[in-house]
Amino acid sequence: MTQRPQPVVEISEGIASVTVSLYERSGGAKLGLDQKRFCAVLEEIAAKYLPEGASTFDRQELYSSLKVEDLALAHACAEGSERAWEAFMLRFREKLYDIAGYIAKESSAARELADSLYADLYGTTTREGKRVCKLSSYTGRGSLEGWLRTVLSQEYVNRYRKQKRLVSLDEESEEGEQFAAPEKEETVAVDPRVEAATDDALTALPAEDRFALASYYLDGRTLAEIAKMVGVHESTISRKLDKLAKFLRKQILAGLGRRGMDRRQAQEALDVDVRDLKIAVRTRLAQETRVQTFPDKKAEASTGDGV
Amino acid sequence: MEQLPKIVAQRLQAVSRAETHPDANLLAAFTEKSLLPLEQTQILEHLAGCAECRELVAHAQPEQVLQQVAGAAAPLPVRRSWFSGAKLRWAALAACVVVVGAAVISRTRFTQNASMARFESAPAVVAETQPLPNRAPTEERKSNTDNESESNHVRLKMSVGTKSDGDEVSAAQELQAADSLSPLRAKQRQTERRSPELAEKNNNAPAVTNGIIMGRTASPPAVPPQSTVTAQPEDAKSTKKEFSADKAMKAPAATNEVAQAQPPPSPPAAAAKSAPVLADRQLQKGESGDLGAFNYNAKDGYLGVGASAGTLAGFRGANPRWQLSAEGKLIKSNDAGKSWQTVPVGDKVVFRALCVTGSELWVGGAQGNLFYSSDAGQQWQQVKPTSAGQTLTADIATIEFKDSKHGKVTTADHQTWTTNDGGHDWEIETR
Repeated sequence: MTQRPQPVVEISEGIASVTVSLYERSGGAKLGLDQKRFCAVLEEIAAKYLPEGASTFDRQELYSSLKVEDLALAHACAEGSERAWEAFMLRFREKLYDIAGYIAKESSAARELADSLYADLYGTTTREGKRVCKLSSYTGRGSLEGWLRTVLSQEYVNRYRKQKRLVSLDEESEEGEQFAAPEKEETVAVDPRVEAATDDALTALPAEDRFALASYYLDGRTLAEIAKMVGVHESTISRKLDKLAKFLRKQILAGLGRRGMDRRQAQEALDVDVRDLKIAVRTRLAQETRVQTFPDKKAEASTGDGV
Repeated sequence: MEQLPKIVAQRLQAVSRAETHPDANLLAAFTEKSLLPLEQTQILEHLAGCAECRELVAHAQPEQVLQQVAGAAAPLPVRRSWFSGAKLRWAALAACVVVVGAAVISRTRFTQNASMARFESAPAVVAETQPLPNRAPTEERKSNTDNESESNHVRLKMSVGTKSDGDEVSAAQELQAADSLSPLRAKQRQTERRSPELAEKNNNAPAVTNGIIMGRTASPPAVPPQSTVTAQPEDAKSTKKEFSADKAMKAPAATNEVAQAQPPPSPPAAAAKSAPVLADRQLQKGESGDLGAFNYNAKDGYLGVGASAGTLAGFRGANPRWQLSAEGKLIKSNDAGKSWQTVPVGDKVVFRALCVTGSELWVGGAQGNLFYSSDAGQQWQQVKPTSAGQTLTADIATIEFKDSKHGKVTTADHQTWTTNDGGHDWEIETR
């Protein structure tokens, strides 16, 4: 994922013919993108995604997997072609607002989000005297619509995180919590053997399984959402998660056994979690305080009535 | 869903805190499943430990966007019907099974009823319409004897083997009663038991059975080679005799009367024609006591007027089997494939295709020879498909009829002849 310095790659004859045919297929000429610029874009993409000294075959394979029509459109827009922008607006204007509406869940926020992205795409900001257009970073690996959706999501998440940190003092005072310090997460001492056994069991799992586990148990995604992300049926994810939970429990118990615990101890270490006890105590305490407040008020009221 | 230990969730969260993230291009390609396998694994590896990127990917799902847009247009929550999704699929599957099952059952019943009706009515039609081939009288007699022998053999087997136990007991009781009434008959039966071959010969000799046969034997008719047709009334009476010997023995005068009323069947056609007439007359003699036996058989559903014992055996067990022999002849079996007999259809024609739908048969072969029988092979007629001035003369390779109307004949030179009216009009299609 790290960006390497772009190597100067000599274009062989085979690659040259491929790039020519790709340029013709992309319709870059109609959009005002010349062939030289298109070849340069392809070179940049190859330098970004292929290792140094990659074979001609690898390069051809990468080029053939690109969405060249979208690539030409995006880079023609980045070059400032009017025709390209007309085509872009025609295709994506309404779509961007729709996507923003889905992400922001509120119409004014969605419009603000989409407009800010338009500004970035058009290149209102400058860097070192040059207009920076976000579309020039599009590489054609996925569709332009998918890329726009991802960029919009990124923008939204960044904004949300920034705004989350800024809490209005008025709102806090209304809630009766002036200058409340953030609550510290209590660190719970867990047996290091349990942690080590759990890490071993998790490391042994394939990436897809860990992704499914994290999406379901940490992010709270639904089975349908995870299934769409991975590209399988919902029931497959359900079965997989069920199996994984059982498998992990079994593996951790085995790991604890290897670390010197007998079966009963390992079972207790896994099942009796101190955080459960803490939550129970906290809940109980909260109930008790709430119960205490009402008798006081009632007592005051009865006193007032008596007077 | 199985509960995940809390420690696992905690460690999952702490596993990876990646510093660098994949760019929007790769995430978009991951969402669209257009990455190379290696890249896909790398991205999954990153996503497993990066909550931020998981959130981006979750937001960037195209289907979700479409769903949300549709939801925005109709803000009210869409309540899923109870009859949707998996339930609907299962219900559709169950409905399909029920429909197919009902269709199969009704089809089977219809075929059985149709073939029953045909078997009951077929022999009379054949006897009246089928031209009888010319043969020498000796050959005809031999053929007649052979066929009668075969039909009697089948009849004997039927009377013992295919009846239910209760029927066997009642038949034995009837035989005993008949023996007590007629010592001559008892003696003959004893002889039959001692020598089965002799018994079969005696059975074949109609003089032993009853007056009708005796009358006919006195002036033996020229019997056509397809003796199952002409032997049917006799067989029917013989079968009747087996099941109700006492009643038959009680009324010999009545049967003799019928025999006398029958004209001497000197020409073969007259003989063939007389057989069902005789059976008809016998059936109409309700007051003579013989009708009881007929009714008994008719009630069982396997005996029609003039139906042969051989036909009965095939009918009670299974439909006759049809095949093409290696020499290209049409062969038929009435005993579930134990023995086969050649059916004379189209002289010197080598058949290569056969199609049986219920009691209808189509058989075709070299030089466009196509024959059709609507009555389970009793009567055949040659069909000459013509279309647009062209006649089917090529070798027939396959015949397919899905019902009595709609069928298709393909030839060796890739012509396809189709009919939608049971073979009256044809359409040709050349590939």
